[in-house]
Amino acid sequence: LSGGRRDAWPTPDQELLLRAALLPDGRALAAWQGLLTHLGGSEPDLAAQSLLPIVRKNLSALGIDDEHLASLDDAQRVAWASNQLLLHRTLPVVAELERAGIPTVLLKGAAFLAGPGAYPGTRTMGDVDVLIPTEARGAAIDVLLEQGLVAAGGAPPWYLVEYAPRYVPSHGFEDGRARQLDLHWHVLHWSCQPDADDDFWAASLPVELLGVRTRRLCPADELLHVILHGLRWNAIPTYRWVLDAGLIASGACGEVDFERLVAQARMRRVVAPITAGLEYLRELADAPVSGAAISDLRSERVSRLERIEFQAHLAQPRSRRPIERRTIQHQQYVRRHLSLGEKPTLSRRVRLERRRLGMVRWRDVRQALAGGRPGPGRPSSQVAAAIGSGSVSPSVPPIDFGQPVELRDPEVLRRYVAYGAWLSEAEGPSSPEPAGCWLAGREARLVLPLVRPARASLLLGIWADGFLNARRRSQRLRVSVNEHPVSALEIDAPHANLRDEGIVLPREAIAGDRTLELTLEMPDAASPVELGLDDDDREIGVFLRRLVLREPPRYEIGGALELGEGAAEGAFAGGWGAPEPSGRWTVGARAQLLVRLDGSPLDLDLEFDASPLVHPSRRRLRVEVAANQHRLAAIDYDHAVASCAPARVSLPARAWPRDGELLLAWRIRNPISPSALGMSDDQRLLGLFIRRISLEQANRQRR
Amino acid sequence: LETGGEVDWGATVVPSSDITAQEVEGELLILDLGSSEYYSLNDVGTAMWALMAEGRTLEEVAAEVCSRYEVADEQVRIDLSSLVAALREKGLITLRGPGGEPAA
Repeated sequence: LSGGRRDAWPTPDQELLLRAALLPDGRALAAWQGLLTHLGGSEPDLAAQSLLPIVRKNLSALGIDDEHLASLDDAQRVAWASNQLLLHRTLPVVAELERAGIPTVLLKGAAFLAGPGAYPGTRTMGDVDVLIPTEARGAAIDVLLEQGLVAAGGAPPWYLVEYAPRYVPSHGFEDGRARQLDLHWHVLHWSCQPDADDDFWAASLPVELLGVRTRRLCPADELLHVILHGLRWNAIPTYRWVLDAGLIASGACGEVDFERLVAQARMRRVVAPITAGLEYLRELADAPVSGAAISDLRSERVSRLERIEFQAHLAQPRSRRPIERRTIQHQQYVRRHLSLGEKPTLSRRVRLERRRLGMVRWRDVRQALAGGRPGPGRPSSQVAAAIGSGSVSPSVPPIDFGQPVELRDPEVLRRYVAYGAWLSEAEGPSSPEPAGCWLAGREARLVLPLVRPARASLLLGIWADGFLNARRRSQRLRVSVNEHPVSALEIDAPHANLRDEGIVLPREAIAGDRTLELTLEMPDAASPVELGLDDDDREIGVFLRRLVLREPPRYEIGGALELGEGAAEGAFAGGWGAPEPSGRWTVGARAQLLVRLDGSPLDLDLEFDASPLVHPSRRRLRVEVAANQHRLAAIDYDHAVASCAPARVSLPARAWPRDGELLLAWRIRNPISPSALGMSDDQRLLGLFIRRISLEQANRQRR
Repeated sequence: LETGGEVDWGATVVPSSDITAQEVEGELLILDLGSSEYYSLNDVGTAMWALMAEGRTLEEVAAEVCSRYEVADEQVRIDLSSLVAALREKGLITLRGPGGEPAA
C-alpha cells in the first residue's frame, strides 16, 4: 500500500482503505472492493494492518460480510491484545513519572483508549505517547532510564536533554519487554517555544487508564495534534492520522470545539496544514468538520514562507530542494524565538535571520558576502555554522593556568571560539547550551590568550562527548595547537565521553607564545539524519564542555606523587580514569604523567605502587614503562601473584630530560574491561591501578 | 472443578491477577499478560464469564444461563463445566469453595 509514496499524503490505495474504514454507507464497500481488486493477494503493510480492525468494524456495522472480511476477525482480536500488552507494560512507567511529581498527558492512541468513546480494538498502537512539561525532560528521562528503558536508536543522553528538544518534540524509549514509550517534551514539531504547551496543559482533561491517573488533550487540541503529526513526512507511513482525525472529528473523544481549533491554528501559524487536513478529511471521509471553521481558516492570510514550509514538511527530507531546507531552518528559528501569537513581521524575520546566520554585526555580513571565513569543515547546508573572523580580539581577557574554560558560558564562546561552534537557537549566535556547546561540521578553532607566555609544555584537559549511537560506534577527534598535531583521540561507544582527558601541548609548539590556537578536527562529524535520529540534516562534531590549561607540577626527587583524589591534575597527560580515594586506573593502551624536575641529571629508580587487572580468565598483563620515549622496562603481572610489591625500574641519567620535563608512560598490552571479564558492568579498558609513584636517586636506594 | 467425580457447584471463580479481559464487539477477549496469549469466548461464554465475575457460584451461573437462553439445564452444566475446566487448564482462573477455601 505504500508503493509510489512521494510525500506524506496517502496514496490512492491507502485512500481506498481509509474510505472503507470511515465512510458510513455503501461507498465504504465500493472502496473495499476496489482495494481488493488493486491489491490482489499481496500482504498489507504495517500501517494498513493497524487499520484493518476498524475496516472490519465499519463494514460489519453496514451489514457487509464476505470471506475477506471474515478473515479480518483476528485482526480485531490481535489489535486489542497487542494494545493491552503495550498498555499493561508501559503505563506503570507513566505511573512512575506521576509518582516522581512529573505530570503527564497521554497523546494519540493511548488518549483515544482513555476517552469517552473508546473502542479497544480500533487500531493497533505502536507506542504510548506521553507528554511531560518541557522543563522536566531531564528528570523524566532519568525516571525512564531507572525503569530500564533505553533511548531508541541509542541516542546519547546529552543529545536528548540538550540538543533534541530544540529540533524535535519527542524521542522514543523502549526495552526488550515490549515497552515502548514516546516521550514528548512538546506536543508539536511546529511549536517548540518554552511556553508552547502552556495552553495545551491548561485545557487538558483528567483521565484514568488501567488505574493510572493522567490527562489527555481536549478534543480540539488532539485533532490539531493528529493532523499536524500526520501531515509530515515519516519513513513509516502515517496515513492512519486520517482515521484518528476522522474519529475525533466525529466526536469519539468528545465534542470538538472548532472555534478553539481555528484559534490554535492561527496562534501557532499552522493555518496551511490545518486547512489542508480538514478539507481532506471532509472530502475523503465525509468527516463532520465544521464548514464555518474551514471558511475562517481559508480567509486567513498565509505567508508564502509558511506555504513553502508546509510543502517541505510533506516531502521526504532527502528530496527537499535547497530553498525548502532553508525555509524550514528559517521558520524553525523564527517559530522558536517568537512567542505564540507574536507576528513574524519582516523586520523581526531579518533580525532573527541575521542572528541565526551569525551576522549580527555588519562586518559579519561583509565577511559572509565575501565568502566568509568558514573553516574547512563547514557543512554546506549551514552558512551559519562556521562563519567567524578566524581570530579573536587581542583585547579579550587572558586565561590563567588551571582556570576552567567553560563552553556553556556565552562570553567564553564569544571571546575564544574563532569558528566552528554551533550557533545555538536559544539566544542568538555563539550562545551555548546549559552544559557546553556542540561543534559544527568537521573543524573548530579556539584562540586562547594566556596570562603569561608558555615557558614549557602545558597540559590541556578536555571534557567532550561524542555524537554516537548504534549506527556510529566511534568518532575521531584530532587536536592541534599552533598548527602542530598533538593528539589523535578515539571516542568509543559506550565510553563516549572524554572527562579531563589530558593532552600534552609540547614546549616546541607553544614556547614563548602568549596565544594558543587550538584546532579540533572531527572527521566523523555526522548529522542526526545520518544517525537515524531525526530529520535534522546539520552535521555535529562533538559536544564540547570544558577546557583547562595546566602547567605540569614540579616534582622533588625523593618525594611521592599520589595519584588518588586530591592529586595535582596537571600531571595527568591522558589515559587515566577518574581519581578514586587511593589511586586511579589507566584507561586504554597508554597512560602518561608529566612532571617537571629540578637539578642535574642523575641515575634514578622509578617506583610505582600498582595493582593489575588480572583474572582467572585473563591471567597475565604486560606493561611497558617508558620515560621521554626511552623504554625503561617491561613488567609481567601474573594472576598467580596477586599481591604486588611496588614495581621498581631504573631511569638512567641519559633519559633525564634536558628541559627538566619528564614524561612517564605506561603502555598496556591488550587492556580489557571488567565487563568483558564478567567482574562488573564497568566497560572501560583498564590496565593498572596505580596508587603512587616516586623517584629516588639510584645509589641512595642501593645504600 | 470436580471433586471425586463430582462438580463443586457451590464454588466461585477467581480470575487470575495476570490476565485482563474485555468485551469487544460482542465477544469476550481474555489476555494472559504473562504468556501474551489471548482467548475469545462466544456470546454464551461471555455471558457465563460476566456472571462468574460477579462472584456468583457455578450453580447460580448455570441457573441464570438456563433461564436467559432457554436451554436444558443438563446442557448448560456440561458447557459450563467444560468452559471452567478449559479456563483452569490455561491458568486463567482458580476456584474458591463455599467457605472461601481454594477448591480443588
